[in-house]
Amino acid sequence: MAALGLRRAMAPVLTAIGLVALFALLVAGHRMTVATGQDIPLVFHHRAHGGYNCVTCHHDFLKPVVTPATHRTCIACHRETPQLAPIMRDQFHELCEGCHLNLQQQGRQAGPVHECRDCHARRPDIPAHGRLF
Amino acid sequence: MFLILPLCAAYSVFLLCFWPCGIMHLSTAWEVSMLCGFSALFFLLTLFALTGRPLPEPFFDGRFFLTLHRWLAWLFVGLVALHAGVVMWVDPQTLYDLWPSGAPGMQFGAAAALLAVVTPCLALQRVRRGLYATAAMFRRSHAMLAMAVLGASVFHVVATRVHVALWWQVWLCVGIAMVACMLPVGERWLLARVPTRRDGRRRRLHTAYLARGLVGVMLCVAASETVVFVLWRH
Repeated sequence: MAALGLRRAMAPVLTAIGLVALFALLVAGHRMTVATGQDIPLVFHHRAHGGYNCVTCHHDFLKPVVTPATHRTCIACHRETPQLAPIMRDQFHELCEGCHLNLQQQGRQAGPVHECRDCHARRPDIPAHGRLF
Repeated sequence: MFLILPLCAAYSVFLLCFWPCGIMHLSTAWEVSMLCGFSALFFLLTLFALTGRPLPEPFFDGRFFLTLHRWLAWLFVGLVALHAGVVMWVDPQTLYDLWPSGAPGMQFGAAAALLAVVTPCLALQRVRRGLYATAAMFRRSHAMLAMAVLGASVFHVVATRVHVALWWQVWLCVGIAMVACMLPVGERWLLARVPTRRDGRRRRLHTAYLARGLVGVMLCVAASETVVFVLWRH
């Protein structure tokens, strides 16, 4: 009975501890797994981007980079470079989404902006360009 | 029904502040889902303004504000469920974000949704009596949970950058959330110091049905504004 009373009296403290634990778990879990995250299918229509300057995406054409990557694809290079892996998702979203958003704001035809399925899907008509995590 | 007009006006201003900036060609399902999310955030903010806690000397009797708070909370939970449900239905890829490596903005959104369901469940009378020794303890615990829901929701809105992307929108969103957190205490402090003017009127009894009516009206306003906004965008 005393234990029950103590638990009821401690309810606000337990709530605070629970909330801190929940958000700490989220942040710690994210930091620990962000570099090794899981695979999400990604399609990229290379031909549809033929009208744009190659170096917009292929920055290593002008300034060669040293990378431990075993494959010479955009995703592999970013994924296998330890410094880039944790920020890879943000970098790719910024590049693709940012460019599409700019075009949309200029009233021009543009690729997908926020709808996940437009890029992160298995499309039989477009060869997969890589697997993003 | 003195609350209907201010609530409808605040709701419209809230949507206008956060919605039309930036041209984004989203599908109808996404637009509906985003509007449900923004409506949910608005009703969450109203829960901070219209707390169910009576004043030391209440102007209105009965359970008007308590019933209003409870029904607004369920409306908020329903809109959150609709917001998450529609996005997951049209874009199941968002479920990838539930893994620890997912986008922080989405994970905080999921945490906010989880807490949004837990918080009103803990406030149910039977649960509340079993869990908390006194009303003050319940109030503190409920306030902490509510602030966690609001904080996580605002982080979700700002970090996902779907509609709140401009700097003034971000600061407005954060500012509104901070004011909302202080509102229950400030409002009570202020109202306790304002002299009560009854003008010979008697306190009205049995006002719970008015609260239910008000929530019904707000639900209709939210639904109709969703339709208007989606039609306007397409």
